[in-house]
Amino acid sequence: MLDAAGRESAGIVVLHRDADVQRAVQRYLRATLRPVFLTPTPADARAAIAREHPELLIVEHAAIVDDPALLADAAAAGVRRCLLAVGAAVDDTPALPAAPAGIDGFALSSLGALGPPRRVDELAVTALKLLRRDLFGMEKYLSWGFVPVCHRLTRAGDRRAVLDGIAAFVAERGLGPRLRWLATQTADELITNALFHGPVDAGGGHPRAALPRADDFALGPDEEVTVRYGCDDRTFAIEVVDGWGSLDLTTLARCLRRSLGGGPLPRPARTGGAGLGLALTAGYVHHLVCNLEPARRTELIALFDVAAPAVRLELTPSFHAFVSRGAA
Amino acid sequence: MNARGLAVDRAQDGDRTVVALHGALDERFDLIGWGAQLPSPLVIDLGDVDFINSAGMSQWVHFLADAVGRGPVIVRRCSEPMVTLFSMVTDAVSGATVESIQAHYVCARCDREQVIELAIGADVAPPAPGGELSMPERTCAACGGVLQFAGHPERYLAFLRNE
Repeated sequence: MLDAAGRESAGIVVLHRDADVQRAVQRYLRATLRPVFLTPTPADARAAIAREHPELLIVEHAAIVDDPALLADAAAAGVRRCLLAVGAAVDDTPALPAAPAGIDGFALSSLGALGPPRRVDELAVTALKLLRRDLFGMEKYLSWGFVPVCHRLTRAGDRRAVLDGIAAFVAERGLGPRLRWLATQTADELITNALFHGPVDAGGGHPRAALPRADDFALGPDEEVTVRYGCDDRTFAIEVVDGWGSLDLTTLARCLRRSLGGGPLPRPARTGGAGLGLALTAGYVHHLVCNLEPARRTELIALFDVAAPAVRLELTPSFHAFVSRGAA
Repeated sequence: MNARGLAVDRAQDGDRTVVALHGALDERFDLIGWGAQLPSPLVIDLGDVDFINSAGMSQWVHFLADAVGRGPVIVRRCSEPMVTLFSMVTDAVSGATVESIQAHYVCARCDREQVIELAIGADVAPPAPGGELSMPERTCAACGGVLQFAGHPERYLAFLRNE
């Protein structure tokens, strides 16, 4: 199969034990126009990788537990993108592997252990983001042509005006009182995270992490936080970007594990931030997308399904975390 | 988000101190400090709390723990943001008696959203061992249709399993 430039497209190898899931995944991946090779065992996946030289490997986490060297061997064989499906709850991931050397686009996904995705297009979007090395921007989750509201925070205290803007936006569009509090609380946690946990010093510490959250301070040109939000007929989205890129996959997985795993979050500390902002966020949203470009930027996108008359709180939201090495 | 932050009312009802919180519970209000001298028994009305972030949640948990340490505490009319936290965070309502909660309902006929107040015990009961949590149906005041809870009872009422 040829791509738009007339080149032969590298394919996608899918490793999953369940034949029904394999077929569903194949259907969702049609949008990529890539050949899809379905494999039920790590040995079959290894053979397909050697034979087909795929660009993307999609694999359920259980297979990595059975064959811990698979990802590294796939990278050595030329696979450059990897999507690891860890299930709806992160608590089935006792040992999340880091992206091995050679993999320049790595994603964790809670696509229901790859079957079935809660939204038909989620897997296609996820795969396309990896294949195109185009991870950033909430536009990928909304209808073409939607117009976002944009804020660039130059002071920490700008946060309140942004939250008031989101509340007004939701109210003016009749999206309901429930979305109002879900959206503002989510935005507050994401912005707070960017302002107080994003900055890193030369020693790798987080100099603002211990500051009282009520503090107002100016943000330098490299410290500005960008917030965008908007909606179409199905989805309301909030995107928060900082230029630090200090949130790593291990920290993210630990935060989300607390919330997506189903158990209660730990009792917060008496002073300072509760340290639970991201975990709480995972409890408010329907979909959480985390785009991480180490040392360059962190982009967190919260998505709410607004097609139903009343926004429902889900038992377990879906999440996707992407890590890019180099420009994306 | 509520631009005005948190407002508080305090009244006396016999031997009980009744306080009501209104607005946004966040880092702008020193809830722990404000509550340190509140005598017991204490009744806390949470019906108008429309926002709580992680800093506010931290304050709430420790404010409540301090209050419970001094004597009986009843929380009533707990708003949806508060109930959600009760069910998500350890010790978010430990030691207190939850008298009533608010819940978000939607009409199956006219799609109208309504906030319904439910009494714990009369309307919503803690589950028997191994039992399921459920929410009662209500009738839409606008069209007479069936109002259904817009959420998952097991998630929303999880705090009842911990009481």
